[in-house]
Amino acid sequence: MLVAVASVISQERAEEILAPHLDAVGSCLFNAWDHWRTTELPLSVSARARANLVYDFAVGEARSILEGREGLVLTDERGFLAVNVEEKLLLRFKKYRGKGLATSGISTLQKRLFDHQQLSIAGMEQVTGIIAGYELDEFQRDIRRVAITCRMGASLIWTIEVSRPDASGVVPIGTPDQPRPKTEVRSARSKEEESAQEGS
Amino acid sequence: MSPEVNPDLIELARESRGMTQSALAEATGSISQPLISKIEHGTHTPSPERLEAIAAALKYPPEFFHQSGRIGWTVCLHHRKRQSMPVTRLKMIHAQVNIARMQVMRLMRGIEIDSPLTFPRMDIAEYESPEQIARLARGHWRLPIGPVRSVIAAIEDAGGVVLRGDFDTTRLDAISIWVPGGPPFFFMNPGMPGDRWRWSLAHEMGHALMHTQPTADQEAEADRFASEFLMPADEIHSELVRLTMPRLAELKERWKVSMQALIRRAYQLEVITQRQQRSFFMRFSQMGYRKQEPFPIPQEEPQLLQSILEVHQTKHGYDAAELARSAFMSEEEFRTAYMPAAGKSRLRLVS
Repeated sequence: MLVAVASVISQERAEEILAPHLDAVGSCLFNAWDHWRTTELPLSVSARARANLVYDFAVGEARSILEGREGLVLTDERGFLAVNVEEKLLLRFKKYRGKGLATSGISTLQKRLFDHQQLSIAGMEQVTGIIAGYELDEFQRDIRRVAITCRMGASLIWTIEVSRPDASGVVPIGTPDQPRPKTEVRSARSKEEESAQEGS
Repeated sequence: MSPEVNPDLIELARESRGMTQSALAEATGSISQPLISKIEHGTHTPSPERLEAIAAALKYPPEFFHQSGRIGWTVCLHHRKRQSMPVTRLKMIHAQVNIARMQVMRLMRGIEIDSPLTFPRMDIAEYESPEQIARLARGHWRLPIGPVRSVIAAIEDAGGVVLRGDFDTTRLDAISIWVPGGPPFFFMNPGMPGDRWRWSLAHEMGHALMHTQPTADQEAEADRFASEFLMPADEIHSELVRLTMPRLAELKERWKVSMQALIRRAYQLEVITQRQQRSFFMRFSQMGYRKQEPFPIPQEEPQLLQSILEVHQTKHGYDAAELARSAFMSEEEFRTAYMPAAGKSRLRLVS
């Protein structure tokens, strides 16, 4: 049985704690998505397979971007990668399902504990579980938003938006034409004519 | 004896500059409007001095008016309009593309173009449907099954000429013109997304292949041709099943056509109902994607004219001034149209 905890960290306090790390956390997700967009697969994959791949890429990015950063400790003692932020927040990566920023997944005990703010990590007495997640656009071709959320069960307590560090607008899909065998274009003049012209 | 003046070219040049006979008369400062009218009708031959004055007013070299040859509007000229345009504006653009065609034909002199394929005439009256002609054209040009990688490559490999033409309006997407004895020409408005550029080219290609004579339904026929040419029913049908917004984005990338064209195709092929089609379009309207879709497709790039100019420069040793003279253009206009300092060659089709 799950027992509700007294409180979670307020949005203001969370913003303060996350401020130095926001871009880095956002980069883990944006880079993971960009990695997915440039990954060539021999077949079309399902949305679930894509989410799994993006998650794995995000974990890879986190290990490369966040590990060793002051105030952050990466842990996978619970069987998934989580980021201990200043020993106050426990952040994990997820994909949001829609505008309500809910997440999906099999309702394991771990998930339920996390969702109800009851997950504990060794060395952290009271920790607020938060999600760094991405929501896709309607076409599922690009990230619509990245946000850090704090939930208590089904209730969304607060949201912190994360913008792309170097937002560069719409990226064209497809690739420009590759070089192709061209229609051959050559001089119709004979060598004699060309020599005569060169000599004139 | 002076070479003969082609009166049609005086009228064509005047229209290309958007001038009336009175405006031309005034610009010459010495020739009356009735005399301009007589010259254009061929009932009066201008003296070399008067021709000089007309040429200066119209900003073409006098040699331009001594060319013989046919003018495209009486033969086969089509355009893909998005909105109605004033007739005078359309006439001006038609005159400009005719002159551009003549200029490029002049630039093709001394050049041998070895096209691996040909551009066949397939008159719509002799075939079952535009779809059948599209399938035959794909076969004739040996296009592989699936999406057309490059519409421009298909045209250029068949000996057609594609040019960017700055119509100075967004109301007109493309114009094609095919005068017997020369290759078909396609003038494309550069201010379009890549997917519409491909569709307009395929539409104009349909005209060039099918419409030696105008038909009552020629615009709808050209659209049907473009639809089958870019999205063959047999090949795309199974891919349109269970159409969703994400799937549309995937298919746009694969087939390089707009998502709205895919929705229409799905409806034509009875994969979705009219109600579903309407629902998709309503969602597009709500998101503001009817006029400008996300995930732009890069525009294709014509290569043939560039290759022609390269041969003239590297093999024949011509510089811009000589090339301009051979095309009966001023050097300035030639450079603007065919040799911009940076970026893509773009015919400036406005006076």
